[in-house]
Amino acid sequence: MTFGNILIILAEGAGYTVLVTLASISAGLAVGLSLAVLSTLRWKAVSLFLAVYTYVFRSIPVLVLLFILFFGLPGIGIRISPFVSMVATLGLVSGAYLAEVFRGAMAAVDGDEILAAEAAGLNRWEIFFYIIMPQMFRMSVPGMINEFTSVLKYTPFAYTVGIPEIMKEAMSLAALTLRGLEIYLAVGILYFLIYKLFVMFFMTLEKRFRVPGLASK
Amino acid sequence: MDAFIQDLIAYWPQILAGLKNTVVLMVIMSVTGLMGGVGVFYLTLSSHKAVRRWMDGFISFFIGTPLIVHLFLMYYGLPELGIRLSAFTVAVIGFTLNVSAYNARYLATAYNGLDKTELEAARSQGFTRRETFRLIIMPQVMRMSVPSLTNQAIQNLKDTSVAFLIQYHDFFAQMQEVASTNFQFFKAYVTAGAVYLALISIIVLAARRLEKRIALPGLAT
Repeated sequence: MTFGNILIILAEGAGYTVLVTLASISAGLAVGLSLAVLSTLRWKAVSLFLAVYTYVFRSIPVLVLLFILFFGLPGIGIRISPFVSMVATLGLVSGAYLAEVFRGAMAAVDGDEILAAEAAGLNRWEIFFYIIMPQMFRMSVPGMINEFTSVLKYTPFAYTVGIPEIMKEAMSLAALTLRGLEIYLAVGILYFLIYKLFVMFFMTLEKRFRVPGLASK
Repeated sequence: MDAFIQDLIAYWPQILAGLKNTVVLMVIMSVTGLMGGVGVFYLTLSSHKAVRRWMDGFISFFIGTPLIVHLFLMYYGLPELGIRLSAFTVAVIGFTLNVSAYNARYLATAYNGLDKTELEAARSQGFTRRETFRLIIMPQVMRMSVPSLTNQAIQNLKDTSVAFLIQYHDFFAQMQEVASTNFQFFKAYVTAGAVYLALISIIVLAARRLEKRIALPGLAT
């Protein structure tokens, strides 16, 4: 079996890796965006909740949280599929980080613009959707790419709950052929390729939506 | 008394040994990762283009690939060449490479924010490259990087839990053991999560003190 063959066999698992990554990124964006929106309310109970949420989900290791959800929850009568527990884990964790990224970006939006929008008669939601969000997303690009990279790098944990992604394919192949060195080297190369593609994709997206004169950092 | 707590007490020596392994691994890789990070950062400032290129490649490879792949490569791959390393050795080497890459990037970011005319002034005063690095660059860059470096230390503690996947007997591995004897998976893992939370709180508090201590008035971080 040549190195090329190994790469091709492992590439079959890459589909799952990309799927888990994209689903987790979507979940993380949903969580992060909701938390960031909630933080604009400035209610005491909400701020306390947000502080506790970010603290807890930034402190618990991803692997521990995955095990709580997949192996722990059935003990109290809640059974979820491997895919859902993986996506929920990464969504909850990356949501906590993304919320911070978004909050930072929102704080950087010029307050005068919001004042002007209020004076022009836009309501709260319109101000958020038309004034804050378009600028916030553009300014969050570096932070989002960082977080998406972390999500991609956490996906190999999916093998522990039995999702047939790259790592799981690699382990069964290694058990079969006893050629761990080449196989795990190929895994590294595959992940690096996926990482490079992801970064390139987001960079093009950022360029496509860049507004001249509005700093992206 | 609750059966689960009784089990925890029965397994206490093992859990404590696991906790010790976790903390030892975290401390070692934080120190070696910092030294490695400074070394890689120094080389990224090299006057040789090839060296700079290699270091950029090193940083982006280790940031772009999962840690667990490096650990598996060494733990399950190297025996093929007759090199058999213990789980602890593999963990220390793998984490050190990984953490060095991240730390080097943080230091480089801080370096980009430095006032470059200071470096020119130092050079024209006759400071050698190495002296400029040691006396002008490092004191500022290290101060500015404290928040990212301590964040990395927190990340390190969380990442030690990955080592149990290569048979390292860390705290999480011991909690697994407890769970697999009494089948109280939920309680065992939530307890594990709470312990990590407590350990991280200690690091956060220590980091805040450190930041206050080393802050220089007038030098923004």
